[in-house]
Amino acid sequence: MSDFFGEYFGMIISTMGAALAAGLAGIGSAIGISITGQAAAGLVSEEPDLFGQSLVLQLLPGTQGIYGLLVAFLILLGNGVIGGGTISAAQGWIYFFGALPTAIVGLFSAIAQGKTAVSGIALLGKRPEELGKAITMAIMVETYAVLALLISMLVILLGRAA
Amino acid sequence: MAILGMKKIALISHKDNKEALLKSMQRLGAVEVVFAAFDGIAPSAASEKQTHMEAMLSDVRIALDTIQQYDDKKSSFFEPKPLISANQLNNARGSINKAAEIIDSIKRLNSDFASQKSRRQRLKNHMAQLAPYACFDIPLETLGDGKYTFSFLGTLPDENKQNFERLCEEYSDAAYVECSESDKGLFSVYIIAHNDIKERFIGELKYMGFSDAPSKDSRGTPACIISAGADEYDALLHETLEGEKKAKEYSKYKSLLFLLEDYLLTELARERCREKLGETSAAFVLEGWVIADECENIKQELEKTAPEAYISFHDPADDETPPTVLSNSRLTAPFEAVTNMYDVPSSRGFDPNMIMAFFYFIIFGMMMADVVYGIVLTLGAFLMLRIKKPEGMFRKITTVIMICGVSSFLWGFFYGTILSIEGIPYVLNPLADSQSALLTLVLCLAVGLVHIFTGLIIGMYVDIRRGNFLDAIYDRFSWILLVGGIIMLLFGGILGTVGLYMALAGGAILLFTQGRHKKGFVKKLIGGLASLYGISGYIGDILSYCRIFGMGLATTVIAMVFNTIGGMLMGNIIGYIFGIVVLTVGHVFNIAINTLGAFVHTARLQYIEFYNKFYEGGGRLFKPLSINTRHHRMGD
Repeated sequence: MSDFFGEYFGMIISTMGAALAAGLAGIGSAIGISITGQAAAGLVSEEPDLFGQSLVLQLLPGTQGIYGLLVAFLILLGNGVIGGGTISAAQGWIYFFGALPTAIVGLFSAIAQGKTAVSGIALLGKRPEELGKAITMAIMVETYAVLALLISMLVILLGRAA
Repeated sequence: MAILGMKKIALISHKDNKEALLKSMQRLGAVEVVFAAFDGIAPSAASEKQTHMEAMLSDVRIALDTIQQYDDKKSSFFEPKPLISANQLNNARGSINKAAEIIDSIKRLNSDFASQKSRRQRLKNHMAQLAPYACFDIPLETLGDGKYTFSFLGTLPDENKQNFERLCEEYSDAAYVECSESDKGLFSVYIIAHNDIKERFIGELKYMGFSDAPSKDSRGTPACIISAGADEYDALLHETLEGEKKAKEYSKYKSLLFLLEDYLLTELARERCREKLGETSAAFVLEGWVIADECENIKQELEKTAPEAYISFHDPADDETPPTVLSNSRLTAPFEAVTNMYDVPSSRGFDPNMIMAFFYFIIFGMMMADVVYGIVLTLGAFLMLRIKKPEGMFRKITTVIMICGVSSFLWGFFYGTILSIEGIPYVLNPLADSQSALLTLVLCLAVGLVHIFTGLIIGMYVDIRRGNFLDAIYDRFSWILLVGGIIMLLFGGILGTVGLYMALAGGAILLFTQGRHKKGFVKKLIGGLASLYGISGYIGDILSYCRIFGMGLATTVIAMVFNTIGGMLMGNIIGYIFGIVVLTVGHVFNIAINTLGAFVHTARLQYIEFYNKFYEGGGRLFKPLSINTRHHRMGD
């Protein structure tokens, strides 16, 4: 197969990784923000003053999408889509697998974080002064997205095919 | 940086002075009144005045809700709340009667709106029910059973149209039928027929899914009723619109109602304190918390109001938990908001805010490192403080952002990030090559290590201050030895050898001490062994700081994304315009999203990784009886 795409194979497979990172993590964030937003709208209908606080909670599951964008951009910089140049097939595979942690963990952790943030919104409705705790609980979920991002970036920045 | 000492105040005075004393206490804003716990003295019940005021407050709020709904002039977010003095607030009492009239009229408008709305809804339903029969020119009062005939209106489903026509054919000598065009799967019919066939005919119709027309008690043809209904509907709508215009006019009284709400809140705060006082037939007794350093001042002020009052101060008993008052410098005080969002420090604990603020400053800047972003944050927050003049939590958070902008600015130079433009000189640039990326990561983890060790050292300090010197060694210093030793091992050489012994010493202390609260040798040993598993917790804690690296790169790389898109557009003049729009919107977006990210992730590192090493929360903030306003800022 690598003969079929010739010298562009590395670039193509790594771009696929970039697409997965931006796409899957983005989907996860969209779902997470959406479910939190629905809960927040319910809360705001009763307590319009809590809009600002619930917005903070709503935005929390959005970071995974940004991590995905970040990984995608680093890959596109590295594989020559931005700025030109070309890479070997092996390097392409390294980029592809480098993108996967952020793509997969981003997808699921954003949804899971959204669910935690929804509960945080419920907490906010009953005790508006406990915003800090609600944020902390939601941020705990994000730890694993950050760890995945770390591995993705280490692979992309450091992974060099001989 | 300290938690201030508190004292308990006890005040006994004549009943006549109660109101005056509470008033001067409220203006002083330095006494938190608590339930007076004296044997044989019953707490006073909620006064009639309080009930009355609470009812009035809820009326004011309903009225405000109504007029704000119809007010076109939305007040600007940046507009500061009006300044007001305590006397002006007190004088609001004079406008209560005038306000009561306004509130009554607004409430009447409100109930008018509700009844008009429900009447409109009823009309609408009625008209919708009659709509299928509008084509029949039959006065509704003629329907029903007559001497020889019966007549009615109704609907049938379309699929039975042929069956119905057959039925009509069958009875054509005894029934007259009119049909309408079909609409939404139904067609309506008018039928007048001889009484002889009534039962059979109706039975057949029911079988076909016939349903009767509603509202037999109306008069006139359906079309007439509908058009009359439409007129009534329009009239009601007009009435509502007129009412809304009136409501709009009432919005000029908004500031009066705001003032009244704040006045009532202030009065109610005092009335609610009244409930906590103990009372005899001639005197009353008040208990409360005050800041120890303010005792003399408070005594002097209160004696001005009531010279005969008996006032004494005493230290809190061991089983009493005083409220927490934090005292920090102007630079670190805003960071109290970050800590209080997590948990208020216990009044007998340690105020971590100064040290926390230092790390918050450093870490926030690393996550949001950009020279221009730093300027935008500091300047933006400064202008916000100047223009909106916010208070409370909002003010503190804005000040935190203003201070941390400086850190972003400085780290921006370190990383060479100025809007992520390429070719800026740097000390360390994680994107330069793989070596620098690793070095940046190590730097972030090193900051984490220092942060965590600082937490452990504070924990030791707190232990020693309480006289638990051995706890400090067993529970905290052991971990410093073990974790520090393991990290030195990584360097190898002489440092590694020292590290090995440190780690062994730390591990040994843990092994032999962590089971010390358990009974029996085996349990003690198991407790010690199990504690060593905690090393994974420390590794996790340190690795958690790699989020600094992640968030920092996110800021830089997202800026690069927008730079790249903007750069691609900038080919000709139109491209330049679009490019500048993309760059502006993009960087503003980046600042917004990453400020939020940096703020919460830095806070998380404080809450989870730092505070779990020593922090003692569970306190509650000092809430003195004071003038608390929602719509005004207090000033002279």
